[in-house]
Amino acid sequence: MAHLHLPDGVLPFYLWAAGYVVVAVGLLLLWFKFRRARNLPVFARAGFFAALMVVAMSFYVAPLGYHPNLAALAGIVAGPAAALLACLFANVILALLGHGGVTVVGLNTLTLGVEALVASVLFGSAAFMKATWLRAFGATVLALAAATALAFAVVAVGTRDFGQIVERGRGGVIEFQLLERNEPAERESGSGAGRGEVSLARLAALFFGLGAVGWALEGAVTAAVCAYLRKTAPRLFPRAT
Amino acid sequence: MFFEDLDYWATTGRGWLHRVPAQVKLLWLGGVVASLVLVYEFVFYAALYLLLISFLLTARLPVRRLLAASAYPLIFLALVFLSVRGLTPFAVLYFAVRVSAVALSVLLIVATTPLPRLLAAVRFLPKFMAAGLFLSYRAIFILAAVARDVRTAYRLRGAPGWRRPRRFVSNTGRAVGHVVLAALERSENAAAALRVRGFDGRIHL
Repeated sequence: MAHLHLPDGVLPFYLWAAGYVVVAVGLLLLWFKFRRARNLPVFARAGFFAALMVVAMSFYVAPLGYHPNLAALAGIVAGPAAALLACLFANVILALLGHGGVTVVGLNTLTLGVEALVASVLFGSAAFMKATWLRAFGATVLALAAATALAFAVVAVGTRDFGQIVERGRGGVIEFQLLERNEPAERESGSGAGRGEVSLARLAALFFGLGAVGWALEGAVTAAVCAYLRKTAPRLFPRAT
Repeated sequence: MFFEDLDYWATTGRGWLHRVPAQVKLLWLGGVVASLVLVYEFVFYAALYLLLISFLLTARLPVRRLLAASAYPLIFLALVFLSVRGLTPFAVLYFAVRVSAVALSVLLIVATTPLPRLLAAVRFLPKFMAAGLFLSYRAIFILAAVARDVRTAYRLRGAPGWRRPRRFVSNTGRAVGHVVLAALERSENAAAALRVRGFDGRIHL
Protein backbone atom coordinates (compact mmCIF):
# COMPACT_ATOMS: atom_id res chain seq x y z
CA MET A 1 0.00 0.00 0.00
CA ALA A 2 2.99 2.30 0.18
CA HIS A 3 4.01 1.57 -3.36
CA LEU A 4 3.53 4.51 -5.71
CA HIS A 5 2.97 3.89 -9.36
CA LEU A 6 5.10 6.43 -11.14
CA PRO A 7 3.31 7.58 -14.32
CA ASP A 8 4.74 8.37 -17.75
CA GLY A 9 5.78 11.87 -18.69
CA VAL A 10 6.98 13.12 -15.30
CA LEU A 11 10.45 11.64 -14.92
CA PRO A 12 13.37 12.45 -17.23
CA PHE A 13 14.64 10.00 -19.84
CA TYR A 14 17.97 9.22 -18.14
CA LEU A 15 16.18 8.06 -15.02
CA TRP A 16 13.63 5.71 -16.54
CA ALA A 17 16.22 4.40 -19.01
CA ALA A 18 18.48 3.60 -16.04
CA GLY A 19 15.56 1.73 -14.46
CA TYR A 20 15.22 -0.39 -17.58
CA VAL A 21 18.96 -1.09 -17.68
CA VAL A 22 19.01 -2.30 -14.06
CA VAL A 23 15.94 -4.49 -14.65
CA ALA A 24 17.46 -5.86 -17.90
CA VAL A 25 20.56 -6.94 -15.99
CA GLY A 26 18.37 -8.57 -13.35
CA LEU A 27 16.33 -10.25 -16.08
CA LEU A 28 19.49 -11.65 -17.63
CA LEU A 29 20.49 -13.19 -14.31
CA LEU A 30 16.99 -14.60 -13.83
CA TRP A 31 17.02 -15.98 -17.39
CA PHE A 32 19.97 -18.20 -16.48
CA LYS A 33 18.01 -19.40 -13.48
CA PHE A 34 14.71 -20.04 -15.23
CA ARG A 35 15.87 -21.51 -18.53
CA ARG A 36 16.30 -24.91 -16.92
CA ALA A 37 13.23 -27.11 -16.72
CA ARG A 38 13.80 -27.89 -13.04
CA ASN A 39 12.98 -24.27 -12.21
CA LEU A 40 9.53 -24.52 -13.77
CA PRO A 41 7.67 -24.51 -10.42
CA VAL A 42 9.40 -21.25 -9.44
CA PHE A 43 8.64 -19.78 -12.87
CA ALA A 44 4.97 -20.77 -12.66
CA ARG A 45 4.81 -19.43 -9.12
CA ALA A 46 6.15 -16.09 -10.37
CA GLY A 47 3.41 -15.98 -13.01
CA PHE A 48 0.67 -16.72 -10.51
CA PHE A 49 1.99 -14.32 -7.89
CA ALA A 50 2.13 -11.58 -10.51
CA ALA A 51 -1.53 -12.30 -11.21
CA LEU A 52 -2.25 -12.27 -7.48
CA MET A 53 -0.62 -8.87 -7.16
CA VAL A 54 -2.64 -7.48 -10.08
CA VAL A 55 -5.87 -8.86 -8.58
CA ALA A 56 -4.98 -7.47 -5.12
CA MET A 57 -4.30 -4.05 -6.60
CA SER A 58 -7.84 -3.90 -7.96
CA PHE A 59 -9.24 -3.77 -4.40
CA TYR A 60 -9.15 -0.20 -3.20
CA VAL A 61 -9.58 0.46 0.50
CA ALA A 62 -9.40 4.20 0.90
CA PRO A 63 -10.01 7.33 -1.16
CA LEU A 64 -6.35 8.16 -1.83
CA GLY A 65 -5.82 5.18 -4.11
CA TYR A 66 -4.61 2.86 -1.35
CA HIS A 67 -4.58 -0.77 -2.35
CA PRO A 68 -2.66 -3.79 -1.17
CA ASN A 69 0.08 -4.90 -3.57
CA LEU A 70 1.21 -8.08 -1.78
CA ALA A 71 4.80 -7.74 -3.05
CA ALA A 72 6.11 -8.28 0.47
CA LEU A 73 3.89 -11.34 0.83
CA ALA A 74 5.19 -12.63 -2.51
CA GLY A 75 8.75 -12.20 -1.22
CA ILE A 76 7.95 -14.08 1.98
CA VAL A 77 5.91 -16.93 0.46
CA ALA A 78 7.26 -17.35 -3.09
CA GLY A 79 10.91 -16.56 -2.39
CA PRO A 80 13.07 -13.73 -3.75
CA ALA A 81 13.65 -15.01 -7.32
CA ALA A 82 10.01 -15.78 -8.05
CA ALA A 83 8.92 -12.56 -6.31
CA LEU A 84 11.28 -10.38 -8.36
CA LEU A 85 10.05 -11.93 -11.58
CA ALA A 86 6.46 -11.58 -10.37
CA CYS A 87 7.07 -7.87 -9.72
CA LEU A 88 8.26 -7.43 -13.30
CA PHE A 89 5.29 -9.30 -14.81
CA ALA A 90 2.85 -7.44 -12.56
CA ASN A 91 4.29 -4.05 -13.51
CA VAL A 92 4.15 -4.78 -17.23
CA ILE A 93 0.49 -5.79 -16.91
CA LEU A 94 -0.28 -2.79 -14.70
CA ALA A 95 1.33 -0.47 -17.23
CA LEU A 96 -1.06 -1.87 -19.82
CA LEU A 97 -3.96 -0.98 -17.52
CA GLY A 98 -2.83 2.64 -17.25
CA HIS A 99 -1.84 1.93 -13.63
CA GLY A 100 1.77 3.10 -13.71
CA GLY A 101 3.59 4.05 -16.87
CA VAL A 102 5.06 2.13 -19.79
CA THR A 103 8.32 4.06 -19.67
CA VAL A 104 8.71 3.56 -15.93
CA VAL A 105 8.10 -0.21 -15.78
CA GLY A 106 11.78 -0.58 -14.88
CA LEU A 107 11.64 1.90 -12.00
CA ASN A 108 8.31 0.57 -10.73
CA THR A 109 9.74 -2.96 -10.86
CA LEU A 110 12.74 -1.82 -8.85
CA THR A 111 10.48 -0.23 -6.24
CA LEU A 112 8.27 -3.31 -5.91
CA GLY A 113 11.28 -5.63 -6.22
CA VAL A 114 13.05 -3.94 -3.31
CA GLU A 115 9.89 -4.41 -1.28
CA ALA A 116 9.72 -8.13 -2.07
CA LEU A 117 13.45 -8.68 -1.59
CA VAL A 118 13.71 -6.83 1.72
CA ALA A 119 10.63 -8.61 3.08
CA SER A 120 12.01 -11.98 2.00
CA VAL A 121 15.44 -11.37 3.59
CA LEU A 122 14.06 -9.91 6.82
CA PHE A 123 11.46 -12.63 7.24
CA GLY A 124 14.08 -15.30 6.61
CA SER A 125 16.62 -13.77 8.98
CA ALA A 126 14.11 -13.40 11.82
CA ALA A 127 13.52 -17.16 12.02
CA PHE A 128 14.31 -17.04 15.75
CA MET A 129 10.98 -15.29 16.34
CA LYS A 130 8.22 -17.75 17.13
CA ALA A 131 5.28 -15.56 16.23
CA THR A 132 4.98 -15.82 12.43
CA TRP A 133 2.57 -12.89 12.28
CA LEU A 134 5.05 -10.62 14.09
CA ARG A 135 7.88 -11.63 11.75
CA ALA A 136 5.65 -10.98 8.76
CA PHE A 137 4.43 -7.65 10.12
CA GLY A 138 7.92 -6.37 10.90
CA ALA A 139 9.36 -7.58 7.60
CA THR A 140 6.50 -6.03 5.61
CA VAL A 141 6.57 -2.65 7.36
CA LEU A 142 10.35 -2.34 6.96
CA ALA A 143 10.18 -3.53 3.36
CA LEU A 144 7.51 -0.98 2.55
CA ALA A 145 9.53 1.74 4.26
CA ALA A 146 12.55 0.79 2.11
CA ALA A 147 10.43 0.79 -1.06
CA THR A 148 8.93 4.17 -0.18
CA ALA A 149 12.42 5.57 0.44
CA LEU A 150 13.49 4.34 -3.00
CA ALA A 151 10.38 5.79 -4.65
CA PHE A 152 11.01 9.08 -2.85
CA ALA A 153 14.63 9.14 -4.00
CA VAL A 154 13.57 8.47 -7.60
CA VAL A 155 10.95 11.22 -7.54
CA ALA A 156 13.30 13.65 -5.77
CA VAL A 157 15.96 13.15 -8.43
CA GLY A 158 13.46 13.03 -11.28
CA THR A 159 11.59 16.20 -10.43
CA ARG A 160 14.69 18.40 -10.13
CA ASP A 161 13.99 19.65 -13.64
CA PHE A 162 10.24 19.97 -13.07
CA GLY A 163 10.22 23.74 -13.53
CA GLN A 164 12.37 23.53 -16.68
CA ILE A 165 10.06 20.96 -18.27
CA VAL A 166 7.10 23.28 -17.70
CA GLU A 167 9.09 26.17 -19.16
CA ARG A 168 9.86 24.13 -22.27
CA GLY A 169 6.24 23.10 -22.56
CA ARG A 170 5.05 26.67 -22.45
CA GLY A 171 6.03 27.41 -26.04
CA GLY A 172 3.30 29.58 -27.59
CA VAL A 173 0.90 29.31 -24.68
CA ILE A 174 -0.36 32.23 -22.61
CA GLU A 175 0.44 31.57 -18.99
CA PHE A 176 -1.99 32.13 -16.10
CA GLN A 177 0.09 32.70 -13.01
CA LEU A 178 -1.45 31.43 -9.81
CA LEU A 179 0.57 33.86 -7.72
CA GLU A 180 0.65 36.77 -10.17
CA ARG A 181 -0.65 39.33 -7.71
CA ASN A 182 2.10 38.56 -5.20
CA GLU A 183 4.93 38.66 -7.69
CA PRO A 184 6.34 42.15 -6.97
CA ALA A 185 6.40 41.48 -3.25
CA GLU A 186 7.96 38.08 -3.84
CA ARG A 187 10.61 39.57 -6.09
CA GLU A 188 11.52 42.15 -3.46
CA SER A 189 11.67 39.67 -0.63
CA GLY A 190 13.30 36.97 -2.72
CA SER A 191 10.57 34.50 -1.72
CA GLY A 192 9.78 33.85 -5.37
CA ALA A 193 13.06 31.99 -5.72
CA GLY A 194 12.66 28.32 -6.46
CA ARG A 195 9.20 28.64 -7.98
CA GLY A 196 8.18 25.61 -9.93
CA GLU A 197 10.61 23.49 -7.95
CA VAL A 198 9.64 20.55 -5.81
CA SER A 199 9.98 21.09 -2.07
CA LEU A 200 11.70 17.92 -0.90
CA ALA A 201 10.64 18.44 2.70
CA ARG A 202 6.99 18.67 1.66
CA LEU A 203 7.37 15.73 -0.71
CA ALA A 204 8.97 13.63 2.03
CA ALA A 205 6.18 14.55 4.45
CA LEU A 206 3.59 13.45 1.88
CA PHE A 207 5.38 10.26 0.86
CA PHE A 208 6.24 9.04 4.33
CA GLY A 209 3.14 10.48 6.03
CA LEU A 210 0.67 8.87 3.65
CA GLY A 211 2.94 5.88 3.22
CA ALA A 212 3.07 5.08 6.93
CA VAL A 213 -0.70 4.50 6.95
CA GLY A 214 -0.26 2.10 4.04
CA TRP A 215 2.64 0.30 5.73
CA ALA A 216 0.53 -0.38 8.82
CA LEU A 217 -2.45 -1.59 6.76
CA GLU A 218 -0.45 -3.83 4.46
CA GLY A 219 1.67 -5.05 7.36
CA ALA A 220 -1.46 -6.07 9.24
CA VAL A 221 -2.95 -7.85 6.20
CA THR A 222 0.33 -9.65 5.41
CA ALA A 223 0.73 -10.67 9.06
CA ALA A 224 -2.82 -12.08 9.12
CA VAL A 225 -2.24 -13.94 5.84
CA CYS A 226 1.03 -15.44 7.10
CA ALA A 227 -0.60 -16.48 10.38
CA TYR A 228 -3.32 -18.24 8.38
CA LEU A 229 -0.81 -19.89 6.01
CA ARG A 230 1.32 -21.00 8.97
CA LYS A 231 -1.67 -23.03 10.18
CA THR A 232 -2.98 -24.31 6.85
CA ALA A 233 0.25 -24.76 4.86
CA PRO A 234 3.19 -24.99 7.29
CA ARG A 235 5.43 -26.31 4.49
CA LEU A 236 5.65 -22.71 3.28
CA PHE A 237 7.52 -21.73 6.43
CA PRO A 238 10.02 -24.52 6.92
CA ARG A 239 12.17 -22.57 9.35
CA ALA A 240 9.28 -21.59 11.62
CA THR A 241 9.09 -23.68 14.77
CA MET B 1 -12.50 -6.19 -12.50
CA PHE B 2 -11.13 -3.63 -14.95
CA PHE B 3 -8.62 -6.06 -16.48
CA GLU B 4 -11.40 -8.50 -17.33
CA ASP B 5 -13.43 -5.69 -18.87
CA LEU B 6 -10.48 -4.58 -20.98
CA ASP B 7 -9.98 -8.14 -22.21
CA TYR B 8 -13.68 -8.44 -23.00
CA TRP B 9 -13.67 -5.20 -25.00
CA ALA B 10 -10.52 -6.29 -26.82
CA THR B 11 -11.82 -9.73 -27.80
CA THR B 12 -15.45 -8.89 -28.59
CA GLY B 13 -15.17 -5.34 -29.93
CA ARG B 14 -15.87 -4.63 -33.59
CA GLY B 15 -14.71 -1.02 -33.91
CA TRP B 16 -12.26 0.23 -36.55
CA LEU B 17 -9.44 0.36 -34.04
CA HIS B 18 -9.89 -3.38 -33.35
CA ARG B 19 -9.06 -4.09 -36.98
CA VAL B 20 -5.75 -2.19 -36.94
CA PRO B 21 -2.83 -4.69 -36.76
CA ALA B 22 -1.09 -5.02 -33.39
CA GLN B 23 2.28 -4.09 -34.94
CA VAL B 24 0.89 -0.74 -36.12
CA LYS B 25 -0.49 -0.03 -32.65
CA LEU B 26 2.86 -0.86 -31.07
CA LEU B 27 4.59 1.47 -33.52
CA TRP B 28 2.13 4.19 -32.50
CA LEU B 29 2.94 3.53 -28.83
CA GLY B 30 6.64 3.69 -29.63
CA GLY B 31 6.04 7.08 -31.25
CA VAL B 32 4.16 8.35 -28.20
CA VAL B 33 6.95 7.18 -25.88
CA ALA B 34 9.59 8.78 -28.12
CA SER B 35 7.63 12.03 -28.04
CA LEU B 36 7.98 12.09 -24.25
CA VAL B 37 11.72 12.48 -24.74
CA LEU B 38 11.73 14.65 -27.84
CA VAL B 39 8.68 16.92 -27.56
CA TYR B 40 7.80 19.20 -24.66
CA GLU B 41 5.30 21.65 -26.16
CA PHE B 42 1.92 21.72 -24.48
CA VAL B 43 0.18 22.22 -27.82
CA PHE B 44 1.50 18.86 -29.04
CA TYR B 45 0.13 16.94 -26.04
CA ALA B 46 -3.19 18.79 -26.13
CA ALA B 47 -3.54 17.90 -29.83
CA LEU B 48 -2.53 14.29 -29.12
CA TYR B 49 -5.07 14.03 -26.31
CA LEU B 50 -7.85 15.43 -28.52
CA LEU B 51 -6.88 13.00 -31.28
CA LEU B 52 -7.01 10.08 -28.82
CA ILE B 53 -10.42 11.20 -27.58
CA SER B 54 -11.66 11.26 -31.16
CA PHE B 55 -10.32 7.67 -31.54
CA LEU B 56 -12.11 6.72 -28.34
CA LEU B 57 -15.40 8.24 -29.45
CA THR B 58 -15.34 6.47 -32.80
CA ALA B 59 -13.94 3.07 -31.73
CA ARG B 60 -17.10 1.76 -30.04
CA LEU B 61 -15.52 1.65 -26.61
CA PRO B 62 -16.90 2.70 -23.20
CA VAL B 63 -15.79 6.32 -23.16
CA ARG B 64 -16.29 7.21 -19.51
CA ARG B 65 -14.55 4.17 -18.07
CA LEU B 66 -11.50 4.51 -20.27
CA LEU B 67 -11.25 8.25 -19.64
CA ALA B 68 -11.50 7.64 -15.90
CA ALA B 69 -8.82 4.95 -16.10
CA SER B 70 -6.54 7.26 -18.08
CA ALA B 71 -6.89 9.83 -15.28
CA TYR B 72 -5.76 7.37 -12.58
CA PRO B 73 -2.05 8.39 -12.78
CA LEU B 74 -3.16 11.89 -11.78
CA ILE B 75 -3.46 10.65 -8.17
CA PHE B 76 0.30 10.18 -8.07
CA LEU B 77 0.80 13.43 -9.91
CA ALA B 78 -1.29 15.23 -7.27
CA LEU B 79 1.24 14.15 -4.63
CA VAL B 80 4.04 15.76 -6.61
CA PHE B 81 1.94 18.88 -7.28
CA LEU B 82 1.25 19.31 -3.57
CA SER B 83 4.96 19.63 -2.98
CA VAL B 84 5.72 22.11 -5.76
CA ARG B 85 6.38 25.71 -4.78
CA GLY B 86 4.41 28.35 -6.67
CA LEU B 87 2.48 25.93 -8.83
CA THR B 88 0.69 27.54 -11.76
CA PRO B 89 -2.53 26.28 -13.39
CA PHE B 90 -0.53 25.90 -16.60
CA ALA B 91 1.90 23.46 -14.96
CA VAL B 92 -1.02 21.41 -13.61
CA LEU B 93 -2.74 21.37 -16.99
CA TYR B 94 0.50 20.61 -18.83
CA PHE B 95 1.40 17.55 -16.79
CA ALA B 96 -2.20 16.35 -16.53
CA VAL B 97 -2.55 16.38 -20.33
CA ARG B 98 0.91 14.87 -20.91
CA VAL B 99 0.36 12.03 -18.43
CA SER B 100 -3.26 11.33 -19.46
CA ALA B 101 -2.38 11.30 -23.18
CA VAL B 102 0.20 8.55 -22.70
CA ALA B 103 -2.11 6.56 -20.39
CA LEU B 104 -4.99 6.85 -22.87
CA SER B 105 -2.73 5.73 -25.75
CA VAL B 106 -1.86 2.55 -23.84
CA LEU B 107 -5.45 1.91 -22.76
CA LEU B 108 -6.76 2.32 -26.31
CA ILE B 109 -4.29 -0.27 -27.53
CA VAL B 110 -5.06 -2.77 -24.77
CA ALA B 111 -8.82 -2.24 -25.07
CA THR B 112 -8.71 -3.04 -28.79
CA THR B 113 -6.05 -5.79 -28.94
CA PRO B 114 -6.18 -9.09 -27.01
CA LEU B 115 -3.04 -9.42 -24.88
CA PRO B 116 -1.84 -12.70 -26.52
CA ARG B 117 -1.84 -10.91 -29.88
CA LEU B 118 0.11 -8.00 -28.38
CA LEU B 119 2.65 -10.37 -26.83
CA ALA B 120 3.02 -12.19 -30.15
CA ALA B 121 3.71 -8.86 -31.86
CA VAL B 122 6.44 -7.84 -29.41
CA ARG B 123 9.26 -9.85 -30.95
CA PHE B 124 12.10 -8.32 -28.96
CA LEU B 125 10.80 -9.75 -25.66
CA PRO B 126 12.86 -12.67 -24.28
CA LYS B 127 10.85 -15.86 -24.80
CA PHE B 128 10.63 -16.69 -21.09
CA MET B 129 9.38 -13.15 -20.43
CA ALA B 130 6.60 -13.52 -23.02
CA ALA B 131 5.75 -16.95 -21.59
CA GLY B 132 5.64 -15.56 -18.06
CA LEU B 133 3.43 -12.65 -19.07
CA PHE B 134 1.06 -15.03 -20.85
CA LEU B 135 0.97 -17.27 -17.78
CA SER B 136 0.19 -14.24 -15.58
CA TYR B 137 -2.48 -13.09 -18.04
CA ARG B 138 -4.25 -16.47 -17.83
CA ALA B 139 -3.80 -16.60 -14.05
CA ILE B 140 -5.46 -13.21 -13.51
CA PHE B 141 -8.83 -14.57 -14.67
CA ILE B 142 -8.48 -17.69 -12.53
CA LEU B 143 -7.50 -15.81 -9.39
CA ALA B 144 -10.03 -13.02 -9.95
CA ALA B 145 -12.77 -15.68 -10.01
CA VAL B 146 -11.40 -17.23 -6.78
CA ALA B 147 -11.17 -13.77 -5.15
CA ARG B 148 -14.76 -12.98 -6.14
CA ASP B 149 -16.03 -16.27 -4.70
CA VAL B 150 -14.13 -15.70 -1.46
CA ARG B 151 -15.50 -12.16 -1.20
CA THR B 152 -19.06 -13.39 -1.75
CA ALA B 153 -18.65 -16.10 0.89
CA TYR B 154 -17.09 -13.56 3.24
CA ARG B 155 -20.05 -11.19 2.84
CA LEU B 156 -22.69 -13.92 3.07
CA ARG B 157 -21.25 -14.98 6.41
CA GLY B 158 -21.67 -11.46 7.79
CA ALA B 159 -18.17 -10.10 7.43
CA PRO B 160 -17.25 -7.67 10.20
CA GLY B 161 -16.39 -4.13 9.08
CA TRP B 162 -13.77 -1.68 10.30
CA ARG B 163 -15.70 -1.22 13.56
CA ARG B 164 -14.14 -4.45 14.80
CA PRO B 165 -10.63 -3.97 13.40
CA ARG B 166 -8.99 -7.04 14.92
CA ARG B 167 -11.58 -9.44 13.54
CA PHE B 168 -11.67 -7.55 10.29
CA VAL B 169 -7.90 -7.92 9.78
CA SER B 170 -7.95 -11.57 10.87
CA ASN B 171 -10.81 -12.42 8.49
CA THR B 172 -9.22 -10.45 5.66
CA GLY B 173 -6.04 -12.43 6.27
CA ARG B 174 -7.98 -15.69 5.96
CA ALA B 175 -9.72 -14.53 2.81
CA VAL B 176 -6.48 -13.38 1.14
CA GLY B 177 -4.71 -16.48 2.45
CA HIS B 178 -7.27 -18.66 0.72
CA VAL B 179 -6.55 -16.89 -2.58
CA VAL B 180 -2.78 -17.26 -1.97
CA LEU B 181 -3.22 -21.01 -1.42
CA ALA B 182 -5.28 -21.22 -4.62
CA ALA B 183 -2.46 -19.38 -6.46
CA LEU B 184 0.16 -21.77 -5.10
CA GLU B 185 -1.85 -24.88 -5.92
CA ARG B 186 -2.66 -23.74 -9.43
CA SER B 187 0.92 -22.66 -10.09
CA GLU B 188 2.08 -26.19 -9.17
CA ASN B 189 -0.53 -27.65 -11.53
CA ALA B 190 0.54 -25.24 -14.28
CA ALA B 191 4.21 -26.18 -13.80
CA ALA B 192 3.34 -29.90 -13.99
CA ALA B 193 1.25 -29.34 -17.13
CA LEU B 194 4.04 -27.32 -18.77
CA ARG B 195 6.60 -30.02 -17.97
CA VAL B 196 4.37 -32.78 -19.38
CA ARG B 197 3.93 -30.79 -22.58
CA GLY B 198 7.69 -30.39 -22.97
CA PHE B 199 7.80 -26.68 -22.23
CA ASP B 200 11.09 -25.25 -23.54
CA GLY B 201 10.65 -21.70 -22.26
CA ARG B 202 8.50 -20.60 -25.18
CA ILE B 203 4.71 -20.43 -25.45
CA HIS B 204 3.64 -20.32 -29.08
CA LEU B 205 1.21 -17.42 -29.30
